[in-house]
Amino acid sequence: MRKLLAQRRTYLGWVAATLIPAAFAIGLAINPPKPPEPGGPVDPDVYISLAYNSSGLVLPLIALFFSSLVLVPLLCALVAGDIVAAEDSNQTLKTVLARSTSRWQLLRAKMLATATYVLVLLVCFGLSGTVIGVLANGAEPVPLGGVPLGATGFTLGAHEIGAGSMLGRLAICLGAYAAPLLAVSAWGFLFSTLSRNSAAAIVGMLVFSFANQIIAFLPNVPESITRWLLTDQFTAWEGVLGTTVDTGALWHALLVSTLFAVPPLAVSAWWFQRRDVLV
Amino acid sequence: MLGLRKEFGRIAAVDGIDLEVPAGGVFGYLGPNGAGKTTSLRMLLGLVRPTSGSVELFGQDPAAVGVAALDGVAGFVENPAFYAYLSGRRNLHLLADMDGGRHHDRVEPVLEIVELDGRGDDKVGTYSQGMRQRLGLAAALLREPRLMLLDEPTNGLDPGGMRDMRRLVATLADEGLTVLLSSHLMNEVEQLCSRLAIVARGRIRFSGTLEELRARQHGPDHLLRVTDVVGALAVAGEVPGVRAEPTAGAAEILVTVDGPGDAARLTVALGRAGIGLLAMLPAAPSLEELFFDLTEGVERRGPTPGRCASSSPSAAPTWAGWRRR
Ligand SMILES: Nc1ncnc2c1ncn2[C@@H]1O[C@H](COP(=O)(O)OP(=O)(O)OP(=O)(O)O)[C@@H](O)[C@H]1O
Ligand SMILES: [Mg+2]
Repeated sequence: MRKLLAQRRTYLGWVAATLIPAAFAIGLAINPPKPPEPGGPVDPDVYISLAYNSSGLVLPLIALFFSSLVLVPLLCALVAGDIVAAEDSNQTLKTVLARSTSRWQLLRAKMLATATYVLVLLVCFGLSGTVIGVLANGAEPVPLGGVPLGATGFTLGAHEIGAGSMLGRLAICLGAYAAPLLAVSAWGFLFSTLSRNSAAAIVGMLVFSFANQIIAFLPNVPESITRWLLTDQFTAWEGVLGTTVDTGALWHALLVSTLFAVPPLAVSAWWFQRRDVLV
Repeated sequence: MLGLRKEFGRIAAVDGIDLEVPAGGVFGYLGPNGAGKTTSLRMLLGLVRPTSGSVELFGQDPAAVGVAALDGVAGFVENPAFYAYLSGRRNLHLLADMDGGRHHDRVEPVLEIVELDGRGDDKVGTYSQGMRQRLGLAAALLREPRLMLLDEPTNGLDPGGMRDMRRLVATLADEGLTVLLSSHLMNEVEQLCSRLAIVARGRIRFSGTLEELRARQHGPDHLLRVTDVVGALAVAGEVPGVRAEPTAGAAEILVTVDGPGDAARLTVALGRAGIGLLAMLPAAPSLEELFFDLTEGVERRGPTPGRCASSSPSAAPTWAGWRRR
């Protein structure tokens, strides 16, 4: 972890995570969301953007909605894909493995460091979004909630979520998003361990993350399948915004994410344990 | 090392090595490029799993018990590598952490030993090769080892750096440390080691003391350049304790004598016979020549230009050819 703290890219990731919501705030200020045609269907992204007119508290969610597919996974991949492979390309693996720290201890420390990085990144993201949003549009109650509209859970505002309760829900949203994000990071970690090449692992993790999320946009993939892929878990956080928090969906997201995270970590550990260090 | 073997695909990098390194002193592990030295040391450090056979460090096998076997053992293979974005001092503290945090107070003393205390706060990325090599030694010393495994520690150093590194290794050995020093330089091993093993193509070709290695040398011990080769051969044939043979070309003969007195009698006899002595050179084959013989077998003959490292002053490189006949 301390090695991570000494590297520039760690801070770059965190700073970028802080800046993403700011970019959305600027974009929305220049180009304010317009109400949809009456009677037509309301897409969740439009709806959530409209809520921004009433309260700055939704800014982190807008930013999350639009950057959860590529931007945030990319920032995570920069570390998850690099963390083991970098030791290979710098040849430092032989230096650290000839000490009294076992291979498993070293790998475990790297897993924890990666997870910490991802979580701190989300905290930066959430804090910056909340602060900027509140500065821009105030901490008013949020006109969300009401009748659930399909799987994504966005509804027109028959209901308001109070400012204090919204802060709590924001935290849960980010927590819910953290689960699948950590799961794809675990795959990035595996690619990093196997490929010994940072660039390949970073691209590999992005492709994996992208593939998992893009399935939701394909026609004819039944929900019974996407429900057990990471696909649906990436949007599970939207269930937090109904009249009540959809805890079932959250637990399900946690379960599926865990199921997806454990195998790559186990394979990483097994492989790292038995590999020859030849650099 | 017990029947140690490591294959990479179809190449056996280490091909059944049995070797015991006694405690104390510097043990030379000598071999040409590709002999399998680094691969052996990697297996000793637990970085590489042997294909078969095993290693024991103070009775423990790193392939079986992991890093616990490295208690009291330290070293590096090839060029020591560090985190370029951290200072030398931070790197050492980091490694001290990985050793269980016991040795933080040794960071300053070891930096001093390798004379890096002045540059300890600079990033390792800005270090020269020699400084990195010395930092590698410092990192090994940090562990207070009883056994140190050094893989070509003078590799890439200038002559002054080599001398300093060798002095340091000698000092450490004098203080009671056992050093396994891998090298491809015979003169380095000759300077530092009392015992050595010579490896080539993954196998041990010789193992023993320097004296035992020297005792293996045989063949002519003097080269005489004379005004009359035929006459000189005839005279030499009559001096007891002297055997002479002509060389292939020039006005030179090779003689083998039983003792220094015999060589003196030969020169007197030559003088009496009116044969001028242009040069008389001791020609004990250098250990380096023996090293070449052991590692290259007999297929390599003739002068070997380009080898300038020579272990004894008497061994002019251009004579490598005849001496091996
Ligand atoms: N990663 C690898 N993959 C395949 N073959 C390898 C690998 N590492 C080493 N070898 C082979 O193993 C043999 C021994 O290599 P090793 O590095 O142990 O030699 P060395 O004695 O350290 O040589 P040098 O003096 O050049 O450092 C060589 O033939 C080499 O080609
Ligand atoms: Mg080598």
